[in-house]
Amino acid sequence: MLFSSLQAWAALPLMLGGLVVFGVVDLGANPQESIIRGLGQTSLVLLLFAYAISPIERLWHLFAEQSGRKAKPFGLVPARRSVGLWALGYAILHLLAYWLFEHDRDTWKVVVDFFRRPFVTVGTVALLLMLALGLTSNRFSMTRLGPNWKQLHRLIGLIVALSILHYVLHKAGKNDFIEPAAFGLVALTAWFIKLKRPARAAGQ
Amino acid sequence: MGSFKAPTGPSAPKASEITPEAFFSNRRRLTGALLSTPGIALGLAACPAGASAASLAVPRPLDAQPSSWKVMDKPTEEHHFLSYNNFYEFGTDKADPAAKAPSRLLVDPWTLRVEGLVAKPQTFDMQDLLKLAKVEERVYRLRCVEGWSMVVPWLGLSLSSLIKRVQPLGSAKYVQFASLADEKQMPGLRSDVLQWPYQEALRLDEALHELTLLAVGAYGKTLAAQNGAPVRLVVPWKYGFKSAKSIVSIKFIERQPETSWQKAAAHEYGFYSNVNPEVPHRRWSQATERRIGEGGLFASRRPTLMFNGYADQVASLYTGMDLRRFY
Repeated sequence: MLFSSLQAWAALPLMLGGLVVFGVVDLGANPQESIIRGLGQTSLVLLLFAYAISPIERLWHLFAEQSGRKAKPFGLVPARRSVGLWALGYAILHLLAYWLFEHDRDTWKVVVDFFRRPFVTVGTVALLLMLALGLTSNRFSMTRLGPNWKQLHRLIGLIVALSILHYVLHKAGKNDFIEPAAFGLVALTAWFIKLKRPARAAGQ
Repeated sequence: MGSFKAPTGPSAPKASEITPEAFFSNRRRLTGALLSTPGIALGLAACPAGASAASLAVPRPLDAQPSSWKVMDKPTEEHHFLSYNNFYEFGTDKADPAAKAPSRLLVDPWTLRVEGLVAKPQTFDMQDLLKLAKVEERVYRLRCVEGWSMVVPWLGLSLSSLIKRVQPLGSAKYVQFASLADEKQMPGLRSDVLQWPYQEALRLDEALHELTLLAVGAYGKTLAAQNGAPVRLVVPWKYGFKSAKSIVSIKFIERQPETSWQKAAAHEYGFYSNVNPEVPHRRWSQATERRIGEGGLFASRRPTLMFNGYADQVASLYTGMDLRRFY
């Protein structure tokens, strides 16, 4: 099934990383930079995917209604948690790679960067929020937090926004916004579809 | 023994192979364009008959004298130099220039216009340039503003030999360089990442400095397209973007001009852009650098040197200047 193989798909870049470490795959002249950026981009793609799952489901539902078929779920919702956790995993690896390759394992330099460089501040805040969501993504937390759980996990919208801002600020130095703009467009579309939902739910 | 080394091994083209190959790939490119795009086909039809003889940059062996400008660091492997480039005219990805420039950039014939506040304005072709002085090999450090570095054996001549030929007037204080900007050859021009043509500039005394090189080759050969063929600037004590590629014009002017990068982000890219480990970029520290190809994946970064290690030669150009203000 699609969503049960999602975990394997998400692990693919990780396995690729292993091949890089052992020198099987060549990442070009600046492998350290490719790894940092690749991990960040993978995390962002997965994060956006997790964010877009309910809008995709919604569109699927609308489409089924329009064509007069009986609406069956598209089937991605059960995969949302693992996609989100994979996004978190890659974000942590992204930070570790940055600590390892950009700062030669000097943790103090990462701390200084956090306070001195807005793009690092924004990225780190996004990661910390993601971590909070990841740590409360289990059934125990759901029952424990009750209605607050949903409030907390609505922060995914903010995390998406901060992550894209992190990317924009990173690219601003080179004045090159095509990729962050593409991510932003996907996020805004998903957000727009999500906005429509409560109004409809209220009308039911 | 000179430091010039002829390329060897299977990748080195035989002299007899070079020209026909250039013509062949060029003709194939033009024919392809002719078949696929009516617009270009019309444009070609309007060209004089000789225009199709313009040829692509195929690096060929170039004789050079050894020079004393030679850093002791190990030169970067040539395949990195050829594959990891910033040349936004062909796209912003590091792999774009190598993928797109060699099949598009027409370098022969090439003209370099030298004008402005000079007694003898002149248009040079490549033969004229090579007559200005003997081509030397100089092994320079190259430090990119992005935090990586290479060591490159350039072939070229001091820019000062060209400047002396055109005789700047007393009013000339700055030298402005413009790269080629031809939408037909350069797909990156469709993007407005930078203002085209790419413009860079130096103060006249910087341009006259002996280290400032007009490069026509590297690694014993003429320049590859992705490295700024056929002629580019190399200013080793400044961040790499100051070293404009594929130069078509040099203009002597009185006032400090705005460069392409200043127009794009003045608070991040200053006019001087001297390599300086103590003045960080907005987004990252400049204290260290990743030397391309050095050590394994987990190799440490290198400390960046003041003026990229050329302080003894160039620090006097900036005596009394606040280098934090004039970054």
